[in-house]
Amino acid sequence: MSAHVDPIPREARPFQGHRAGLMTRIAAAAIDFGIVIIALAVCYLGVSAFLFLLNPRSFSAPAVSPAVIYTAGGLLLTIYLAVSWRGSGRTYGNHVMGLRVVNHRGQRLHPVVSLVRAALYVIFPIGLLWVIVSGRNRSLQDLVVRTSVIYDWGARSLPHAPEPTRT
Amino acid sequence: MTEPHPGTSPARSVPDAVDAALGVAALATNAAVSVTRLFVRAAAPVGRLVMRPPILNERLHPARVVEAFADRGHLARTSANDDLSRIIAAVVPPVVEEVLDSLDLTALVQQRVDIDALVSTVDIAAVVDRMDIDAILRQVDVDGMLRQVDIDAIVSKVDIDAVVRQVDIDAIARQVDIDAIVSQVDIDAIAKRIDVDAIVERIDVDAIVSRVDIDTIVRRLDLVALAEEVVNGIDLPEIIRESTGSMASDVVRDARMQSIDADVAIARVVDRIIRRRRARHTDAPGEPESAQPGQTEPPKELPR
Repeated sequence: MSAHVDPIPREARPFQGHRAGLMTRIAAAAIDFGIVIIALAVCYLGVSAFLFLLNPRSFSAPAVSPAVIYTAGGLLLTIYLAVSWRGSGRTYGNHVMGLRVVNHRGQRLHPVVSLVRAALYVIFPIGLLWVIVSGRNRSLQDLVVRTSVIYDWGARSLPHAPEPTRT
Repeated sequence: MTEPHPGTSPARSVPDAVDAALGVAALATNAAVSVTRLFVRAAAPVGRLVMRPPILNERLHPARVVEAFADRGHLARTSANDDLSRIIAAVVPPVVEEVLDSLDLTALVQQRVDIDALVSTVDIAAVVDRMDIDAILRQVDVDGMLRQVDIDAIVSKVDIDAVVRQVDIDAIARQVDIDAIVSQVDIDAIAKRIDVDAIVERIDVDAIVSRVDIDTIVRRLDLVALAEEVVNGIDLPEIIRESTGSMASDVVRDARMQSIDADVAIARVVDRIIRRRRARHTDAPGEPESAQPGQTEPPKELPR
């Protein structure tokens, strides 16, 4: 027996549990994108420092082609998104903007689903714009993998999706 | 055959000769009376002519002489009656008194008078009708009678329990129109007369409170629901945020609310452009931890 005190501000409570709109999701995606950029920069600095320690006299900043940057960035972003959605159901950008990704049962995503969803966002990010057209505030990626992004300012973690039974 | 009445002579005691003589005498008397009446009727005109001859002055009529004698005789008779009345008044009362003293009237009446038959002939209703009951009642000193009555003694002899057992209280109560009685009562006027302060001063609140089982009351209370209601009423999370929140949390909260505001605005504009007739269904599956019970559609305008 315990009293429940809702920590969410009163004006935000009516939106909790409803699918988020475009601006909030873009803001969250922008934050996540910035985090990946920072992570790439950190990786670049780390590699440069490692090369400097190997041969300080002939050290020069390594040149990185755009293809490598895009590939590395895409992989990093995919892994980051997939792990975050599978873990707490939210990336850091989602956490800042008060969002959470759930499956069609309102539960945490299956690892495969979260990986497919992350890959679809990295490959075709414009699909997010379908939110403003959809009558249910769902992007193209949401339609493909049957997920939803909801307003959820609470800190509680989502229940796990039941593991598929092995035959 | 009826029994001869006591005190009277029996018929058999009189000789038959006497009865025969009396019968002859009565017959002769009747005959004489009849003859006399015929004679008087026949001699009446002659008598009038003799008593009042037309040839004489009226003062000289024999009738005047007869009238004078008649007046004198009447005077003598009346005086004799007065004398007789005085004699009777002087003689009869003592005689009657002596006779009554010598007789046992009560026994005589009981022996000779059929009281039942006598009473049966009396019309009680007519007697009562003639009585002026009101006048009788006015003369009755009810107060004096009541003062002489020992009410306590009477009441002490009454078996109140037996009386009450015979009374059908339910039947009486069913006939009472409680609503009509209550509707006539001026509750406000009664309430105004009550000195509530005086009543409260007489109440020993400490004694009452000492008898109250506080623990039982507390166990009956749903303290959790009560605490939630209080917290929701005072918006405790907002108070905590204002007292302990940092600048960063305020910025995040504002950013979230502004982004929600932007979401709603953009959706409204797009819906208007594409002429969407039905409202967006933004309710998500499952049961998010912050969803409000019964809340399926977010408000169109953001509260500020």
